[in-house]
Amino acid sequence: MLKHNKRYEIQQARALSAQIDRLLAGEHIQRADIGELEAAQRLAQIDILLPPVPVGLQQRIERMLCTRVAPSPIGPTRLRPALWGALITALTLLVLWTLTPAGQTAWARVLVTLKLRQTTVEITPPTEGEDTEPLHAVREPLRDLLAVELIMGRAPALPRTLPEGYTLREMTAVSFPDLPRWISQPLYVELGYGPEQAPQSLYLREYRLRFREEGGILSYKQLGEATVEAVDVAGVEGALITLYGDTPAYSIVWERDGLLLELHSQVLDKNILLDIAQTVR
Amino acid sequence: MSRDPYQILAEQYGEYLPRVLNYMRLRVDDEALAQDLTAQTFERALTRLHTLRDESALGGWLFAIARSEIAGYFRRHKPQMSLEQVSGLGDATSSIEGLTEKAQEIAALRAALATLSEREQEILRLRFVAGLTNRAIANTMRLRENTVAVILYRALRKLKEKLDAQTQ
Repeated sequence: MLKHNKRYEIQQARALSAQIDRLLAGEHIQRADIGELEAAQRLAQIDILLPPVPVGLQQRIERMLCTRVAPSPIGPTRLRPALWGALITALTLLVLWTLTPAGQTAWARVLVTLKLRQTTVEITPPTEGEDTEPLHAVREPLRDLLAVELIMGRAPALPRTLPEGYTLREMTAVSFPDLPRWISQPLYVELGYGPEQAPQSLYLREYRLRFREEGGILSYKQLGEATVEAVDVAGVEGALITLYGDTPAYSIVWERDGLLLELHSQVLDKNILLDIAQTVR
Repeated sequence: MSRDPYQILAEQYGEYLPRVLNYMRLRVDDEALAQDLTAQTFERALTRLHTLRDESALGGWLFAIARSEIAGYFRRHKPQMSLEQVSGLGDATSSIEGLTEKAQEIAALRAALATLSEREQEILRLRFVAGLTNRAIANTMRLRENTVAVILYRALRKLKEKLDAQTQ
């Protein structure tokens, strides 16, 4: 008897599953009045009841897919240089502050796109009413240049000339734990320079992202008004970004040997900053 | 597999993205977290493309990754449940009044689902939210196809009783 009941239940269960298959395929279903199917119909509506996929998430996944270079189905092959160029240029660099949901929705509003050799830097304007709180950064002081080298995996780039009285005051590894896990952390190493007995006022940031690695992304999203102009940095194209605040601040962004460098100061004049950038080796 | 798995995912992610997100929404009652877990699922999927056997297995394969992501999350952050939630009488039922019609239906379904066993809930989520077939669920959860059908049958019967009880 028990065995018979069990067999009957399996038959009922299979019949119900077949009805569910039709229900989920949008076909007409029979016996919609039976209780289990009524519950199934309500459950099948849940995707309509829940909100659609937010644009920010959609773009996040799209970027993830776009920045991943598809492996060749016929095994390793040598890509033509032009194809390499196209693939690498497609990797977009989105420097800091962004990758927050708010930053992602601002993605579509690109102010300017700069092609710095293998890197494409996209600069987006601030969004009205947007929460502009920067990402949470974890700063870890580094003891010396050897520690910097160990993190960077190569000797750090350093400026050969500095304003009078300026010395290297501090070395810091900066991580952003909230960024997606596939972005290597620390994201960059920051070398802080300044005159003795005064606050640091010149920063050289060396990003660890290598553009031939899977998924290089970023965009530079400034948090206030800014202008951008192309500049020549030791023979390569760079971008001079002027950020207008109470006092203007300047950033020069350029690429060297596949790594992104940024020189930033809120104190020094842009011409002085550019002169320093020319000497970074 | 004849087709490049990356191409398959790139072509079909649009179909699966809302399903993965809604699955996560039903697993965690936090929209931002659900979105993060969804992104992590796709991120992980991209690193495990070599394990995708064939195109027809994409749904089951993706939800196996989604389940692994959520399990990892719960291992790191043990869910804290109130006694009311444990007994299936969480906020969902107590605050239904005053919600929009859509929100009321979601809350009613969530509350009814919460009274089922974890295995029953998971099978319902995979069937109705993820859109997997009984066979794909059986492969994902390492069960027999008949077992999935029976659990589904019993779970829906219980769900119907709970939903009816809510309206009375």
